[in-house]
Amino acid sequence: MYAIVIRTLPQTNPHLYSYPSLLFTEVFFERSGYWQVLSISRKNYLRKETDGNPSQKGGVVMKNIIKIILIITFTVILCSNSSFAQTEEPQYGGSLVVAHPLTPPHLDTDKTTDSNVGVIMFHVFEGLFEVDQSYRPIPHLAESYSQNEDGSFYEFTLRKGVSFHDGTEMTAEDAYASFRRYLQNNGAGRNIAPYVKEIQITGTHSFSVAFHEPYAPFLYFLASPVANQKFVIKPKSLIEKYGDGTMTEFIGTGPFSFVSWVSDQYIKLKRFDGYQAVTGDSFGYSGRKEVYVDELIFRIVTEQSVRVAGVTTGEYSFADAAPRDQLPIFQRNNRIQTYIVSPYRQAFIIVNMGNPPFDNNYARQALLHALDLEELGLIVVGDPEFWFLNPSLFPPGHIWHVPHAGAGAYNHFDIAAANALLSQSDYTGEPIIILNSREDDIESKSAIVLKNQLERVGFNVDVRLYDRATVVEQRARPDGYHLHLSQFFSPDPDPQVYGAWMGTNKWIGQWDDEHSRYMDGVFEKMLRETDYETRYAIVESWHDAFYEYVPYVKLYDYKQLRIAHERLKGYSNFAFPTFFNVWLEK
Amino acid sequence: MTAYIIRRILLVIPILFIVAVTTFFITNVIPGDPVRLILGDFASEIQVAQLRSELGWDKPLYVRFFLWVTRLLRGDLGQSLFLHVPVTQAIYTRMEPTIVLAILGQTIAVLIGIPLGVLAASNHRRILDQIAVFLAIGGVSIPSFWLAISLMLLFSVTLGWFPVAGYQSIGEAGFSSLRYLVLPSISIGVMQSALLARITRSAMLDVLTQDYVRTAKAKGLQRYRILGKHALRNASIPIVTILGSSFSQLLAGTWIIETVYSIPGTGALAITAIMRRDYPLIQGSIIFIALIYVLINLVIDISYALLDPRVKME
Repeated sequence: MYAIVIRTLPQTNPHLYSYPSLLFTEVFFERSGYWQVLSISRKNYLRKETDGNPSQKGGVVMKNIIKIILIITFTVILCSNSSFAQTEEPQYGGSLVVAHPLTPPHLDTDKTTDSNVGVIMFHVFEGLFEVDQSYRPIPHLAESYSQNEDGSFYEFTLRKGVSFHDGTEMTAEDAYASFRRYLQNNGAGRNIAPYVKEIQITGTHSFSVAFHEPYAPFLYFLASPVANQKFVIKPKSLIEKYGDGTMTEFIGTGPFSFVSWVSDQYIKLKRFDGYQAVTGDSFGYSGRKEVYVDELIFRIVTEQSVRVAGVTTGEYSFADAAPRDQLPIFQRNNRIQTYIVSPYRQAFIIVNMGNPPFDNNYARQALLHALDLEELGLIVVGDPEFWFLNPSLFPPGHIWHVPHAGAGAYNHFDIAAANALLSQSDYTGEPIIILNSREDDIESKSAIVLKNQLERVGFNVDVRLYDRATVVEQRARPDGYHLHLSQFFSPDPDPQVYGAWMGTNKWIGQWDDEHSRYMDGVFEKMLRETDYETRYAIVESWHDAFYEYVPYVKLYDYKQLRIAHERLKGYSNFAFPTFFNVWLEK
Repeated sequence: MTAYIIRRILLVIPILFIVAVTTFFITNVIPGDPVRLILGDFASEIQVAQLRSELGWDKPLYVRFFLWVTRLLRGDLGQSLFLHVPVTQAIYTRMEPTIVLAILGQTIAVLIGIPLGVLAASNHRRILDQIAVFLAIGGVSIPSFWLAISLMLLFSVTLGWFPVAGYQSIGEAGFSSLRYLVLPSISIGVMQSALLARITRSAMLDVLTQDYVRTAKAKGLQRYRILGKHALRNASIPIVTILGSSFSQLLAGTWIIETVYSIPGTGALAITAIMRRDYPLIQGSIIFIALIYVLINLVIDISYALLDPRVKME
């Protein structure tokens, strides 16, 4: 097996930013695990620069371009006689086994916000809408839709000829029943429900939803892949059978149909031959979804080392949550393909504002200025390739990303300022409880680093790391914690999602003062505004309020490492692993 | 002896009842909330209260205890919160890999441990004894997860002889399902054999200084007959006790090995139940483990009488 690996090196020297990125690129020629660095490195360039002869820069670039061309030519010649020159044509058949790190509590996507359920079941169920590359909702099971000017009325027309896995055709009756269940059970549906005035079936393949007032985030919620917020269509017969209870039968319209689930062991899906694929670019759950494998098996493998070993031997085709620190080892192993997922998650500190000292905004501001986020990222996540600082609550490239958010506040590490702010607060030295799960590496390491950073400015910190069952119970108590580290998926399609977590007495924040009511007001405005530009301005003001009142502290965005065996082809990276359009090379 | 056995079996009932009641109260006072785990991070308080009510956990503790005991007396251990099957069924389906693993692991332990112990004792203070002691201490000291992962890396990843992890039931895959259990059995067997070797050596050393052994030697009996027939049989009571105790542990599940090799056994089941606060399954698993210990201890007691006629069953 031959491979060329081109790696761009991080540019740490600010003087070098103006130079072509080629200068910071290493090209590796790999054959059966043997590595040879055949191109330049930053070190070479720096040596040239310190020689005091900048005029040589052009020569260095030229030489290296020639080198790279030679390498590529040489490799192409070699590969033409090797197994590398295999067809990239999709091949049908085989069982794709995914080593999945967590066992789901059940498989009913409307009955839990655990994204782990959606990762599996969104291969079986499909949304009325799905998100595109900018996380905008686009019709999927809907063929088209219309809405009135102020966004208080929507009418959806379903695609015709779409079959459920039981062979029946999807109609508006199914969509209507599914939507009613969604409103009563789903986390996002429950948020939408109070605003819904009427749902009507308007034709065999169309239905409408009317709101009491404009409801801007509606389509974003319907398409959201995060926390199972997405609205998926299930057969009416199944909904009538289970009502609001947890389903144990799973019939959808997706390209895979459900076969069996043995809890704590595996979930088996198979290709649905009656699947009606849409055309359009594939991205995550949207666009064309072709299935080449016969079976898709999510095998529960909780041990990280076992997931890695299984992918190495080919027993598993794919594994999520691979150890980030082993990336260079994986890259040297020609049996393993690596995928870095970005955007993936954002790390936050959730602040309990119901009790002293963080019921006082000076104490919260002191917390904000006490944090050295670069130190935190380096210690907790490690390799800067896997994390980055981002003041916005949305990742770069997202339509709601606010690049200038938190100026003067985010990563504004200043011990003197933090000390001064803390002395203005009512803090009397009582222990600050950082409550977290010891099972989660990011959370447990962050808690330890935070203790150190907060004690530097005068907080007295008590870190409590428990198992997850204890943490979820303790943090629900008003006095169960002061600070809690949590991680949210980055690709939330709409800022309104935060309205359920951030505001007066929302989630576990215990926040109830004039600032929380101001925040509620921001979300109320955001809720009604359907014009993108005007709504973006509201999103900016939300970011301002976020840094002024500090209900949470944004830490950093981090990435996930996934690995696949060399036989898996066609995999396309997305925040949630999807296995459409992939095949196993024979 | 029959009356003794019946009495012992009847004694199982109050023991299990005490275990069950203790387990019920312990699981109800330990912190942790399975409802919030089931519903996910951002479940509303309404959803939490609704599910709590569906599960009957909004009732006072004494009411729940009464309902639970009533069901228990009917042999109903309840339904697992996460597996969505009756607890008895959950345990039953996990028993096969655990039993096969226990038998294979114990067999390896006996085949290595007892000969090693006998060899060490019969060569007391010689080089063979020192090698055996070194191996036994090494075997006891090696962390089980390290041995398991090392075996996996060598035999599965590098040599490709065995699957990395997982299990297929005998019904599904026939004898080829044993391929999944070779490395886990060796991991267990090596550790158990080290313990067994030390006990065997110690027991044999006691016996080998006895008068009847000297007499046997004086009679001119062959060495293997002295060791096998006279010494080992008389040294067997502590060995059988350890064998019984380790077999009980293996049947209760070796969760580290089961977790490393992703084997769906009873040990991993119990630990996962504890981590998720699956109360009915925790209670059921502990009752099951207690039952195994009680029954195996009964078998050990009976075997004492068979091994040593001086032991009376009263």
